Amino acid sequence: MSLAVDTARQYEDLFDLYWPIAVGVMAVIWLGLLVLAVRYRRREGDETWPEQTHERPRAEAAYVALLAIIAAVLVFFTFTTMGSLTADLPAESASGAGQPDADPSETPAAAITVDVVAARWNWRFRYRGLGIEQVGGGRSIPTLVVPVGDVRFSATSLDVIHSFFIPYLRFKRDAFPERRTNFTLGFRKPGFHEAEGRCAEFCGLRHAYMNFHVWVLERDAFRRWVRARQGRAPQELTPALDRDGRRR
Amino acid sequence: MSTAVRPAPPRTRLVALLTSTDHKHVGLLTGATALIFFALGGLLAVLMRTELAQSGLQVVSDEAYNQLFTIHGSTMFYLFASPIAMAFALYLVPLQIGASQIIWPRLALLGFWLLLGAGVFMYSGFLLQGGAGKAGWFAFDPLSDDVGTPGTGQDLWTLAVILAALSGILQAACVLATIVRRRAPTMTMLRMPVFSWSALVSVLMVVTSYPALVLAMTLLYVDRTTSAAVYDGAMGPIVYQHLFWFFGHPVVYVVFFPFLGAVAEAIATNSRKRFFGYPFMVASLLIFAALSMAVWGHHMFTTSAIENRYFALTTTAILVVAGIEYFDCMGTMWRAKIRMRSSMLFALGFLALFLIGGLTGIFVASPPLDYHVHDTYFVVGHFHYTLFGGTVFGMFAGIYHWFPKVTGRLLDERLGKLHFWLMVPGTLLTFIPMFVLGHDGMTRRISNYAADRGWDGLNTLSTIGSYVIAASLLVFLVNLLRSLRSGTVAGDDPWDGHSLEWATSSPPPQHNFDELPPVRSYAPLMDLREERWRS
Repeated sequence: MSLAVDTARQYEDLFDLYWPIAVGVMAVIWLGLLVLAVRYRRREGDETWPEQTHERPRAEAAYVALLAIIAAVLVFFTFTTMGSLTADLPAESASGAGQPDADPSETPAAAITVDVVAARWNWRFRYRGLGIEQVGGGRSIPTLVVPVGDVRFSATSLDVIHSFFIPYLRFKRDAFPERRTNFTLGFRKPGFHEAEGRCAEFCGLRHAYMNFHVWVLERDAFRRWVRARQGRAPQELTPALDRDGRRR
Repeated sequence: MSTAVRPAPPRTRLVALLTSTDHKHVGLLTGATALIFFALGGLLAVLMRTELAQSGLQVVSDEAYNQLFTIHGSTMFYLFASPIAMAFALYLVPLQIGASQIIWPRLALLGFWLLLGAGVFMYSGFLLQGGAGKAGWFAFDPLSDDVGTPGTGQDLWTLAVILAALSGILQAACVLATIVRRRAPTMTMLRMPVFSWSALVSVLMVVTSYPALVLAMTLLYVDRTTSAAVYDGAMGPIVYQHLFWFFGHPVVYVVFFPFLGAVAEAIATNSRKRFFGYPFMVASLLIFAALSMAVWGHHMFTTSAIENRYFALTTTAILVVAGIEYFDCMGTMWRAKIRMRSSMLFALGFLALFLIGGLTGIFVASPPLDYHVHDTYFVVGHFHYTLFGGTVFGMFAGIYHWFPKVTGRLLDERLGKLHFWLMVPGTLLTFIPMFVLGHDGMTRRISNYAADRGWDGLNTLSTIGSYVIAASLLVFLVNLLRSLRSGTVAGDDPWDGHSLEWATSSPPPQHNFDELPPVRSYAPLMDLREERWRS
C-alpha cells in the first residue's frame, strides 16, 4: 500500500547516497596518507632538506570548489528528502490537546491519532476518539497497536524529556512536558515487533527498560481489535510480556 | 608609588609552583591536572565498557552506571579536554609569538585553582550517599532539576561545571589578550605559527560560547535550590537546550583546534618543510570557528522546536573548511623527507581517525538521517572519533613534539611507537562496533540490553578495544615517568623546529627569551636556515 509518510524509505534512500561518498572520500584520503608516508619517508642517513614548496593556491582553490560542490549536493538531497515526505506536523501547546490546528491540506490524511504520553519509565498510548488506552504495568511494557498505513502521533511527557523511538522506522521524536510533538508515521507491513519501541532520551534510573512493543495489524484486524478492546479495562488485552519483551 | 616592600617568606618548591604566575607554570599545572582527570575519566569508561560487554547487569547497578557515564562525559569535557587545550595555549602561545609573559597572569593562575575546585566538587559527589551527578554531561532540564534528580551530588556537579567554565573563560581571556597585545615587534598576525592561530580561534570561541554555559548552569542551580522555576513551562526545556548547545557545540571545536594546530606543527617539523597553504589554513580556521558558532541546533533536530534546514546547511558547510585542513597537512607531506617519529605517527593517526568522525558527522548533519541515529551508539561512535581519534591523538602528537621543550628531556621513541601501535587498533576496535550497534537501534546511556537483541558480540569487541586503549595509555605513563627522570637530554632544538619556542633553552627561562631571532614569516627558524643555505 502507498504511504504518505515512509520514514524508513526516506532514511534508506538518503543513507544510500551518503555512504558511498563517505567511503570513497575515506579511501582516497587513507590511501593518500599511506602513499605520502611511504613515498616521502626520509631515507636512512639522509640529512638534507627537501625542496621547500609550500603553496599551490590554484590547486587548493579548485579543491575548495570541489568540496563546496559536494556539500551543495548533499544539502540539496537532504532538503529534497525533507520536503518530499515530511513527518513533522505543527507543534501545539499542551492545552490545545485534542484540537490539532494543522492545516489539513498540508498534512497527510491519517485515519487515527495516538496520543503518546511518556512518564518515567513507561508509555501510555491513548487512541483519540476510540476510548482505548494501552499502558504498561509494573513488570510489563505496553504494546502500541496500529493499523497498516499512516498514523498520527501527538507525544507529550508527564515529567522529564523522553524520546519516542521506533528503530525499524528509522525515526524518533522527543516528548516534552507541557508540550506536544506531532508527527505522522507510516506502517507498511503487518507484524509484531517485540520490544522494538524505546525511549531514546536519557530519563533517569530505568531509562534502559523503557521499551514498548509495536504491533501492526491489517486494517480489518485492527477494526476487530478496536471493537474487542473498547469498554474493557486498560491492561486486559495487553499481551503478557516482561520488560525485555519475552512472553511470560 | 613607594611603599616598603617586605621580603617574601621562603617558599618550598611546590608552593612556589602552585602560586607561580609564570605562564609556563600555570600551563603545566593546568595540563598535569587535566591529564590526571583524563586518567580518572578513562577509568570510568573502562568500568562502563566492562558492564556493557555482555547483556544483563554484572558489574554495577543501573544507578551507579548513570553516575559513571555522567562523570565520564563531564570529566572528559570540563576537566580534561577544555583545560588541556587551554594548557597548551597558555604554555606555548607566548613562546611562539615571542612574548616574555602573558597578560593577566594572576587570572590564569586563578583559572587553575578554579579547575581544581571544579574537580574536587564533581568527584566529591561519589562520597555522598546519593552519589555523584547522574543527569548526563548535558544535564537536560527538567531531568537535572531538583525533582528530576534530587540530591547534593547533582548540586555539586552543577557548581563544578560553573567553576570549570569560569576557569576556561579566564585562561582563554589571558591567551587572547596576550596574542593581541604581546606579540614580538615584528610578529604580525599573519606571521603567527599555525598552532598559535589554532589557539587563537579556540580561545575566541571560549570567550564567546562559555558564558552561555555559565548562564545555563547558574539558572539551573537557582532552579534547583530556590523556589524559582526558571525552566518551567512549554518553552523552558527548549531554552535550556539552546543555552547549553550554544556552548556545547563550540566546545567540541575548542578542544579540537589547538590539537589540529599541534598536528600541523608536528607534520611540518617532521616533514622538514614549512607548513603548506598557510593563508588558506588561517582563513579556514577563522571561517570554521565562525560557522561552528552557528550549528548548535543540530543537537536538537528531534525536538521539532527548531528550523532543521538552517542547521543542516550550516553544519554540512563545515566539511568545506575541514577539508582544507586535510589538503594542507597532506600538502606539507608532499615531496617532503618525513621522519617517522612518535609525534608524526600520532599526527597521521589524528588525520586517519578524525576522518571517521568527520565523515560520520556529515551523516548526522542531515536531519532525516539524524532522526534515526540521534541518541544511539552511532552518535557515540561518531563523537569519539572526533574527540578521541581527533583531540586525544592530536594531544599526543603535541606531547611527543613539545615534551623536550617543556622538560629538557626526550620521550622514549620505542615506547612512543608501542603506545601508538596499541592505541590505533584499540581505537578502531572500541568505536567501530558502535556504528553498527547504533544503526541497529542501540540507544546510548543504557546500562543493560536484552540478550535476544544480538548485541553481545559487538559490545564484547568494543570492551576488548577499550582494554587495549587502556594498555596503550599505561605504556605512555611508563614512558612519561621514565623520561622525566632519566630521558635523553634534548637540547634547545632537537627536531630542527620552525617556530620561536625552539630558539630558546629547554625548558625556557622565566623571561622566555634572552634574544629573539628576526621574524619575517610564520617559520622564522626556517628563514634563518634558508639564509644559511643561500650564503
